[in-house]
Amino acid sequence: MRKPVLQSWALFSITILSLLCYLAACDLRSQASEPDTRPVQWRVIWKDHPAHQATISWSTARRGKLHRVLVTSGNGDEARVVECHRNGPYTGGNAFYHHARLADLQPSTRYDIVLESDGQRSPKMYFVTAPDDDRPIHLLFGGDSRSGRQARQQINRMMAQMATRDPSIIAFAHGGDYVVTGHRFDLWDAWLSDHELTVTADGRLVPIIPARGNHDSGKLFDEVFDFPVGDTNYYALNLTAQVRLITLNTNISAGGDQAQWLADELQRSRPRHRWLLAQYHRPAFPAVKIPGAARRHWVPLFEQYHLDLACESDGHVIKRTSPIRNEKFDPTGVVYIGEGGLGVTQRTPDVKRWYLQPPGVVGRGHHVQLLQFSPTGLRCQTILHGGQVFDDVTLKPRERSQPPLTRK
Amino acid sequence: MALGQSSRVTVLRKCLQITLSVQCLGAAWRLFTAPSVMLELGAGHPDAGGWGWSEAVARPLELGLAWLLLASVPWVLLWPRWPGLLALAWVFLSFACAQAWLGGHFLSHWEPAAHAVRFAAPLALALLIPQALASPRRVTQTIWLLRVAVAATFLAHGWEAWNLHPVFVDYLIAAGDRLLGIAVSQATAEQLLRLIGLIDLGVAILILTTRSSAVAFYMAFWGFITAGSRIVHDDWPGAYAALIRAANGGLPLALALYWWKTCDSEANDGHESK
Repeated sequence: MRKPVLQSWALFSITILSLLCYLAACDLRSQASEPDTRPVQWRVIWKDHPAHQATISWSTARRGKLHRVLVTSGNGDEARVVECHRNGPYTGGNAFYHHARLADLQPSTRYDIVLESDGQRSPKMYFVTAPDDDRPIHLLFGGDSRSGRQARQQINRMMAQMATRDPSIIAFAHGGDYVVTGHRFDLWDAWLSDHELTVTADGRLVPIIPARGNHDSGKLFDEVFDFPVGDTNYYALNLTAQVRLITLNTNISAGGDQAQWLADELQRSRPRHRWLLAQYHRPAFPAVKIPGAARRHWVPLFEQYHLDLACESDGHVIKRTSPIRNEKFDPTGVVYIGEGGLGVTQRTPDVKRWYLQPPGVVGRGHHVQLLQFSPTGLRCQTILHGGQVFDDVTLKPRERSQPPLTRK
Repeated sequence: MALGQSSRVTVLRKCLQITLSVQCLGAAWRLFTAPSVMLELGAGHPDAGGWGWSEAVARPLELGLAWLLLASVPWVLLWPRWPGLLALAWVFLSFACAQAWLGGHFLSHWEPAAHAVRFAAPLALALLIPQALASPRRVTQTIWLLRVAVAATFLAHGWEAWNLHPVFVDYLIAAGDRLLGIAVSQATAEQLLRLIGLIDLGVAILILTTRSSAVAFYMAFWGFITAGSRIVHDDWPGAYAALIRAANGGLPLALALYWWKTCDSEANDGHESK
């Protein structure tokens, strides 16, 4: 009698297990064959007037119809729904971008956001607008996340931890080379997913201020960061009333319209801001490679208008130059930092170059730069993966009455 | 006065030797100055198309290559031999392919065409060495190799110019400023660049379809001008960039000298295949 019972139990168990397996497979297949409009790859982008404006962007697997952001100010005084002004397929990709531009925001204000695509919602997150007064702020700067994905993810997590601990970090300036081939969506797809790792533990999105790198050619850069198609990708914005960041594009002519725009921008901004800095990809004073066109076309302008700090990428090392003016060390000159360490394999810097001699520093290691602006100084720290401080220097504000130099 | 076939081959060979020698000097200088695309290929992360070698291995190899290129300068002038010339062709082809493979430049995938004169120079010289074996057939092959290489280089540069290569825009602006003392606007530079692109494309076709020494002389002149524009833009520290492009003018010059003063007496070089 026991044998038939056992057989029945075995048969019953196998049937149930098979049924469960079938249902699981159906569920998986359903998920795979019917990608949804769930918002993913969220980001906040700053390009102009970050005290009052921001672009909220995300991706979906399906095109969808209605994409919008539900916005609530942190104190709950204001709630609005903003529809995306721009939606479309990523060039060469199988996903879709969505950009919603928020305007008329209050400075230094927390905004809670929920991204919604055809009724599917993201978790509730928030971002904080830039201040319009002279309060101290912190900014992260880094470049070159185009390879070494594991290291990139680790650095992104580190930045999220830094921003969690330090609410004064208001944004992240990326100096370019997000991916190795700007035309390939699969690479951007991975980068965008990894960028989610920069979200803080409490859901704060740290706005990104993007610069284009030499590997970021193609339409996808504009689609990812909501630049108009064919945009020149150079712009300037106020991080506070006294801190202005100029983003330049080393992928287009340095000496043409961009140089003229830079001259006008520096002339206009210098008297109005205590801290004036620039970020761009290919360095004027490289630690590894040969100099880019910035050396000839922008450096004279930086020196003429007494730029405080230039943030460069591309070399895959760590560097801070001596202050430079007229191609030699000069305490009144411009300091160049950076060279890119957001994941890329690090190279060996050429320590013999004159501008890297002390008080300049040079080294290698995955890193991000933490720039701390205050009325009394600009502290530049290079933070290695793991949190160790590699370099720590403070620049003093320039004399406000310092006139622009006459160009030779 | 027309030169004999033997003399013309000698002129051709000497021109190629000088061109290649200068090119090797420029390439060596470039590698000594800073790591190149070869290091990026060797020590680059596999995600980025590199081989993932240690930089401690890749950079000494690159410097070793630089020393070999430097040693090639007198060797090419005095004792060129075909195995070494084939190796040089392989080196310069590798540079071009590595740049195309790794990307990061404007129209990177055109690099092998843009660099065609660089790896064609040692190949052409190898075909003419030893001179005693330089049969008319082999000379014809050499001339065709040079014509195709020059055409490819001008075609690639013409296409880049037509597409407004930003570095070329900056060269025009710098040339206006430093040589002529005039401010060239970006719009003007871009218009000029379109015109230059069209001319480059035109002469690229002409060098393949005619045996005009005038066309070849123009290409030589323009090749040297464009190579020299690197010095105008970057000053003398950038001179290696001009030297490494010696073949841009040197190969059309070799063709021009070979074809020069032969039109009347030798039926416009039709004897190449005799």
